[in-house]
Amino acid sequence: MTETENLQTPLLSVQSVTKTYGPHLGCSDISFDLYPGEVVGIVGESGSGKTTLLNCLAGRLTPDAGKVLYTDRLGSALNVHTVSEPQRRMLMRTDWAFVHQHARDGLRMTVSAGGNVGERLMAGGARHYGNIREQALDWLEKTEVDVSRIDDRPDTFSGGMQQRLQIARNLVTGPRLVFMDEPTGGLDVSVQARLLDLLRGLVSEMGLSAIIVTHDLAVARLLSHRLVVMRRGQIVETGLTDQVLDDPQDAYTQLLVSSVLHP
Amino acid sequence: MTELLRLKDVEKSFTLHNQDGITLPVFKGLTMQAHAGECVALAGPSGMGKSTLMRMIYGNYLCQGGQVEVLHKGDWVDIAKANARDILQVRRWTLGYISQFLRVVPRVSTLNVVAEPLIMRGVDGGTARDQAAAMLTKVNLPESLWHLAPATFSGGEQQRVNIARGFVADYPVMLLDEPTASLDQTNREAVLDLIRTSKAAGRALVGIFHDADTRAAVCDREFSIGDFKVSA
Repeated sequence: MTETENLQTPLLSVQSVTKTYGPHLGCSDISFDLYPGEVVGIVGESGSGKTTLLNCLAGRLTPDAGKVLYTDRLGSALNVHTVSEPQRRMLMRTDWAFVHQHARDGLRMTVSAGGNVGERLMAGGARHYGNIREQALDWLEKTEVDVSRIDDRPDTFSGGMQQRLQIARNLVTGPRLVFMDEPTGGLDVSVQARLLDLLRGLVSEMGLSAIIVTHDLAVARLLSHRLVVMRRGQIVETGLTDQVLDDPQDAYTQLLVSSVLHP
Repeated sequence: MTELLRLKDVEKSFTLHNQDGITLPVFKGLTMQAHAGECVALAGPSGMGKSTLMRMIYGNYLCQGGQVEVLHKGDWVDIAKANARDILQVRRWTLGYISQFLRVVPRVSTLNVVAEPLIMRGVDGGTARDQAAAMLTKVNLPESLWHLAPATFSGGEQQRVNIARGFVADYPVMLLDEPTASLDQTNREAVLDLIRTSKAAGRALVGIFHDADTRAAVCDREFSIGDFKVSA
């Protein structure tokens, strides 16, 4: 951890969050806390409400009921859904990052790779071109994107490279909290392993807190400290990651775990 | 002798919700302690729940009842009731577990796999890797393998990586699930030395050893799980 933080105060406190789409349930009465330096995985099958919940937590959707409180660097608790728009934009640019399942949702495809990384730095106030380019190069290296491609547009990149570039773009500003929606989804396994190793290293090196939505239990095991298992919009089980996967208590979690080859 | 681990009235059963909700009882009323400087062997035939008990102490399996207390930085922490964050702290500083199989992130080098428990404690990378190298030397793992990921290693090599990773961080309480199972005589002796050193340093060890010679060589007493068995 780079700064002294109160480890006993949740970084994000989720309190009875409910979101419906007309008659359809997104997620219902979800509560949990995320502490500094902690990675929480949200697992469950497609349609269980994972992504809806993630979008509510990150302020991208407004819940019908409940609230999400974020403790900022000064220690004040901000209600994610009632802070002013400029304040929320500031949070998104400095304290938070959001890694989308599809890299093209998180990148600007018509801007060069270096530009994608530099843009976020500039949004945070950086102006010196040389420094920005240097940091962009540094992050391309960290995320194992060939640095000779810095001036190429991401639409000429492979899926795995795009995803690593999206991660570079998100982490370059040193956020405190990262939301990830299926970060390894749609990538072939060798690329997945590489990305997992990278993410795991970055999370522990930077002392990041993260919420990771995934349907892949192996990914959840490697990346998260704690698991939240969702089904039909509700939490059915939570606990230490290896405990939930190795000794699941709920019928649905047991089914989920027993349905994969090597979780 | 100082108690470092104490279990009281521990109960375990598995309920299989997707197999007609059948409940498999394992044991009940299990009480035991482990003290500084001793190695306790869990005894009993296969299927009695030795590995299960070990996983419960580590917080990997839940307890249906009772207490599993570990002396962590001067305070007793009940693993059976502690929250996930507290269990992770106990695992980081106090409780080590050498499982039968190595499970690591693909692509990570052996040296980094072994250094990881130290890095998690905030030890700088260089020092952690030096200590990891020293431990890998003790378990006779050839230096030519240190920079490779252990996924392709033989069973015995992987087990030694696992052992090095378990012993590198000097946990006050160690759980060993058949640490010598796939090792030849020389390497087995190296592991027994690590156990002896740990005992001399005042750590408490609880282990499963199928081989009677190994038990005789390092264990101070046996604890029979069968006494607490609940039949289905």
